[in-house]
Amino acid sequence: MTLAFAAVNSPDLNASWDWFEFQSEMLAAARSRALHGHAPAGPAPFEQRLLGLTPEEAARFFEAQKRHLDLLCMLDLLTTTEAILRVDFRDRVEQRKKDPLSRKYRELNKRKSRLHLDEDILEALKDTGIRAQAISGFRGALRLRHWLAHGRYWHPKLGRGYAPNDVFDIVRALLDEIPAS
Amino acid sequence: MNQLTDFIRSRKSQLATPGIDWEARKEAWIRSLELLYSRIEQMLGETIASGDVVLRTNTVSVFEEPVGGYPAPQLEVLIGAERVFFRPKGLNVIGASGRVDLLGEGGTVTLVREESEDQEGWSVILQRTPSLSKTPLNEASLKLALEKVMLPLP
Repeated sequence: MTLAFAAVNSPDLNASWDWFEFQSEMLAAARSRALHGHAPAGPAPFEQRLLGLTPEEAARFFEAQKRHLDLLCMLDLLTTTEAILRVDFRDRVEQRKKDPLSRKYRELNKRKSRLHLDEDILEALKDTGIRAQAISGFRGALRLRHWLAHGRYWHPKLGRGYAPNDVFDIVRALLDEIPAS
Repeated sequence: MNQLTDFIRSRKSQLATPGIDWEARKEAWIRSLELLYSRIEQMLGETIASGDVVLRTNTVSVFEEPVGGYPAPQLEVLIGAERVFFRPKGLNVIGASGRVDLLGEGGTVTLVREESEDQEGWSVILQRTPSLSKTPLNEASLKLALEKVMLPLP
């Protein structure tokens, strides 16, 4: 099936989180089926690959699946947040709104042809009074995004650990602080 | 009884393994290993008679939950200067009633014991990804398995 690669004009953090929760639930159900007995209909096709694994090996298999899912979820949350911030930027510039953030964005838009998330958009948000903690939390998580988006081939210096719910809290805290236009 | 206690007891009863006689299963497992090794000996009969292959059986220690630790026979196959082992991994495995790993210097191949209503058989897992490929153990699949676990010829 060919996917439709169209612009997402309303990036949705909740949709990303729903996706992650659903995948996690399916993975947990698959793990429970595999380790605690099959359904009467016999093993599902996806369980064939577990044939002959010891319970410990199967547990390691599911832990690796969950880790991969967690990493993808964190990347999804961070890229969706960037999309939300950039769509908000575009809307405020195009709609010529009068609030301080919209004015700041228009001024930035005139001055620069290529906008950077960190130096431009986050700086503008900071200047309009968003809590420094919300900005710095997201900036820290951008190092995680960079590492994930480039294939994790180096040891990252993230300064802290992250789980999907940490990243969700960080991006939600930032987005909740954005002033209404 | 409060809801928390109810929940914990319900979980425990649903996940409990209904009275499996692990001792009896272990004995059947050891017998099935002995049968497997005699079958392999039959398959290699001609090369054993000519002296190209030498078989040895020894005992290894297996530990698995919830069976515990027990001694089990391992088959060692000497082909010239090369050795491969049929090493019992355990009887408590997913989707099968036992597993033996064929180990060589070039890799490992898994054999699984599968039981139907009145018979049992062994299959060789040829590949796991992207999809599982297995075949019943016979001379042809034993040859494929040996090719996988032995070092390639220079």
